Amino acid sequence: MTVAVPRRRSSQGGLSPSPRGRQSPIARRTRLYPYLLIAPAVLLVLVFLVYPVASVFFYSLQHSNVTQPWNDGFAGVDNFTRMFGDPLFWQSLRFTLQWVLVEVALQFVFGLALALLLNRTFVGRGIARALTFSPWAVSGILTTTIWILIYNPATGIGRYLADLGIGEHGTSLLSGQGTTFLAVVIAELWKGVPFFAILILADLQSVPGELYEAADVDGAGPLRRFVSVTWPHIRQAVVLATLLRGVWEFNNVDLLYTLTGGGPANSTTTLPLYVAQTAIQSRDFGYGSALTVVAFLLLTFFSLLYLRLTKRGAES
Amino acid sequence: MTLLEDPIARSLPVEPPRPGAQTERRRPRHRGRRVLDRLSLWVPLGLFLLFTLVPLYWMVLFAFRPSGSTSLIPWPITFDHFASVWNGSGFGIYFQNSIITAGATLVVSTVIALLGGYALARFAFRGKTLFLVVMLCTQFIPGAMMLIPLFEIFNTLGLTNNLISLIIADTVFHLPLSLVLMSGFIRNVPVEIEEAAWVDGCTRVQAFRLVVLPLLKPGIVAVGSFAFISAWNNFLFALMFMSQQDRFTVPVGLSYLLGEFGADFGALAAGGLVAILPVVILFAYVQKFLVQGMSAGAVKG
Amino acid sequence: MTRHAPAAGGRSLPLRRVVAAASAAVLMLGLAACSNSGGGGGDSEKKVALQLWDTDTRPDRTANLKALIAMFEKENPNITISYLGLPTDSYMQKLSTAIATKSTPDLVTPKASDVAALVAQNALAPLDDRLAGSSIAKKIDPNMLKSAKAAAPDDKLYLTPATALADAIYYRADWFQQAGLAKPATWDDFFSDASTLTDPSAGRFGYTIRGGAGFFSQFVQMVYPMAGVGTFFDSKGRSTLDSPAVVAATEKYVSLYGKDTAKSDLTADFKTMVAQFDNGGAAMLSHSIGSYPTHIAALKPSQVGVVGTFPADNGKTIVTGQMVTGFGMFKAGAHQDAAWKFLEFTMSKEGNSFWAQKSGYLPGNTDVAKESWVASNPAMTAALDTQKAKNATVLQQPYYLPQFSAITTTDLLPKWQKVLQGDESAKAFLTDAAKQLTAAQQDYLKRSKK
Repeated sequence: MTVAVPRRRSSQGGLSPSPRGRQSPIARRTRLYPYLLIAPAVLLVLVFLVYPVASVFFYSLQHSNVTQPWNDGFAGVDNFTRMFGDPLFWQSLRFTLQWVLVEVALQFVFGLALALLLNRTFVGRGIARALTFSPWAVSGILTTTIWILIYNPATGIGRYLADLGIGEHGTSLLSGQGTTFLAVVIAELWKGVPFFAILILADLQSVPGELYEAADVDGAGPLRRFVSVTWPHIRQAVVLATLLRGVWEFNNVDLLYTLTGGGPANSTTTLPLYVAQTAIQSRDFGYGSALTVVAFLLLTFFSLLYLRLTKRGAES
Repeated sequence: MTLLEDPIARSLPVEPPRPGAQTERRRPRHRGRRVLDRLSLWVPLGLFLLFTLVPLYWMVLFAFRPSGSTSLIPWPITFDHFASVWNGSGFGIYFQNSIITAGATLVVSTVIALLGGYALARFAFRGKTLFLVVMLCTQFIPGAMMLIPLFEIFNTLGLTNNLISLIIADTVFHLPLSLVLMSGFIRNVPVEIEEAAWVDGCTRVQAFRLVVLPLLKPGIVAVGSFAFISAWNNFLFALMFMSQQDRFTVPVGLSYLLGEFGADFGALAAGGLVAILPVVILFAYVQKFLVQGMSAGAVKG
Repeated sequence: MTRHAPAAGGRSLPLRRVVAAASAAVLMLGLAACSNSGGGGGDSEKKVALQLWDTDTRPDRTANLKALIAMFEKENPNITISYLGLPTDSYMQKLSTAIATKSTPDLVTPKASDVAALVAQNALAPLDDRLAGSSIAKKIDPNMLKSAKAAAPDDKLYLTPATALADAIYYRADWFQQAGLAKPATWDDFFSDASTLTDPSAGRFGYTIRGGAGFFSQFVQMVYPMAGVGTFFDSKGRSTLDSPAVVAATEKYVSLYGKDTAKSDLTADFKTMVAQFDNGGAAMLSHSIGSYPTHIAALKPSQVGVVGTFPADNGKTIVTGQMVTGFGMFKAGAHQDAAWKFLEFTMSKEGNSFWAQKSGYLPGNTDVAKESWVASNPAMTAALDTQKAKNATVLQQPYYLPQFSAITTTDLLPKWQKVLQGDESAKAFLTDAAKQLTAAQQDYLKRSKK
């Protein structure tokens, strides 16, 4: 039973603790609260990220190659004009879009399915959860090595399947015509699905049980129950997590770098992989920085777009 | 006393019917539905488990099988790879460093995420969107492009070759995800619960600690484990910021096993199993917190 | 309704304060307790502490290198060397970062192919003068010394030629025996053996071709000896890659793909090739003597046969893959004299014998090369036999070109894969590659004239 006590409302719909008379100090403290709370995060970012990010922008305007220092100097927009005429840039951009969309969509769908399954009650649930979450814990170099071994025709699944008559010896999904994309998608899925599963499962815990009961009373089937009860609750966190996951998939090149090296023939080269090849392998840090800057701007643009679209969807 | 004030009742985990759990209604006429229901759980779950376990089994195969063998079962079994990875690579110290780094990142990350996430979830303040966008933007540039400036910053602070630099770097790069996720979890806790606590006389902090925090267990588990794992698996910063052999972490140790002139898959698999085991055990333990909290009962009063 | 203690706004916020204080304390402790890397150490008396970074860290190599260091420290009690291992695939990034942030160690283990990049960053100290004044100068293999100097853009010596790699072709001796085949001795043998031993239904292929990362080394290893071409650039500084002999050899080499090799070799890097060969997927493999230990660990020594290379039709034997690997010191190191002592040690009979034998690489000290263990290592004898062959010419790759690794690693790889897939002709590929390398060479010649 609540007692009606005059309460102040902050603009978010959140309340502040009941004031005991003096309003100004409360108001001031309430106004300062959020800034104090985000202060550690802001401080860390300011101290450790502003300068590095700025330096990438700086280098994008320079010719910079440590192994050919005689060419170094101010480049102006040279790197950018070079980029727009670089077919590999456009190709990698197209592929990146394809890669990110497919990966995030599949990871989300399978992660959601897995979370829903793991939310039910059954014997051995704890073990099932620990096992299905474990790929997320495997370190990058190990993940790529496992999948190299799995796809290798001498050491991998293909060999045993070929012994049984399925598929040919000496072929691998990784280097087949048109199957490379499938191979890397599967490998990355292995690691990415647990991410969504863990997240969504945690989210599902906050859905009040009585809403399900009410839905049952209404005679709703599982689909209807999901759409009207579950989804609205997990939606917001999922939307943001998906965005962040998309950014991560965009930038993380470990798997592609090791499994295919961006090949065969650059067919699995994402823009960040191209950056790694350019800036780190070829030591052309200036051009690599310019590519990074373009990636940065694109990501910013798409993130804002995505947030706006999903916000609009939330309001409807 | 209300549920909130009864310390004993509060400390007992209450587990109301799990959301999404099929309520097992006994309808003898529909026993078939029961079978279908179990099938609809075990068939997809089985497929997921298969997909998860086959690659893990491949790792087990290579870890326990003699090099060059191609049998599908690790027989005859050998422990040579474990010996070579633990003794030859000095894995013990890498393990220790990894645990320190990942553990500290877990704590620092989660605390900052709780603070910032609370602000994002409960307040509307000027600069909120800017803050979110800035946080997001920090994810847009890969760490590999910022190694030299980052190193310079840590050097200035005198933190190079110190695990603290790793903790900071891991935290900073993981912060946006932690913040966003945590704010989502906090937002899921109905504000009314906090308000009820304030009405009962708690300060905002007390209310948070006593009422919201227990309900955030699943959220803390999720955010904490993501932070832990991302720090556990970080290779680049560990390699770049440390310059003493006994400060390296497990990923660096594993990287010694594969290169242009040697490919010891067995040792790598063995090292990998050793590296993954504590995390799986951790998962097995914390996953039990991924259960519904008290929010169901508390609001109804 | 009961009430707790007054919760008016005047109260302090214990939890938050504690958290903030704790975080600050942790940070403070960290800053206070920070210890920078050992670096040069104090120069009290004559005690010197050096740091060595290993660029090719593997468990057995680490053990050997530490043993070598221990041997040196015993003879030089006032010098201690601490060891830091960098992973084989990412050491360059760490070195570059260290150079850019002025945090380099004293000693490093470069390969000839690393020298140009490090010299361009003005990182390594030239060793010519020091070597001239040293007693071991007379004992150094002249070929390896020449190779080591040729790796630098200014022809100076930047690493001690302690050891050298050499290319070798590995083959499954047991499969050859079962098929009644003799050890391959000519290129015709090689191609026919590859064809004979290919049995796709059993998952066996005659050869594993490197289609993925690092392909260029193996490409040169096979194609140039086939073509009988002994120089990378002709006298006018034009690349020999598109010369008719090389083009013909390339076409023959490429024809192996998909026929006598697994189709999956298209993206095969070193690890994949090794997995193929060591797990019974291929009968022959081209690599260097450096991987011999890996192969005999996976297979029994009796199953692994090694041969150098085969003479070309024009009678020349082209020796490829001679890559000097040794030790160098950084210009910015604080104790150059002590560092040089260690470098000398790596070339001395005692140090070089230990190091070369443990590594399984060719030794740079001429006395050591005569030791008995050299003859008992099949990979090394194969390499040495090739070098001693009639009309043997050592092919020097242009590591001194700064663009070399960028061109051959990043740029040419996708084009090579297109050639293997049949989407591009070998001739077009080679013409393009030759053009780029010629441009790089001309640029280099122009700059070194200045």
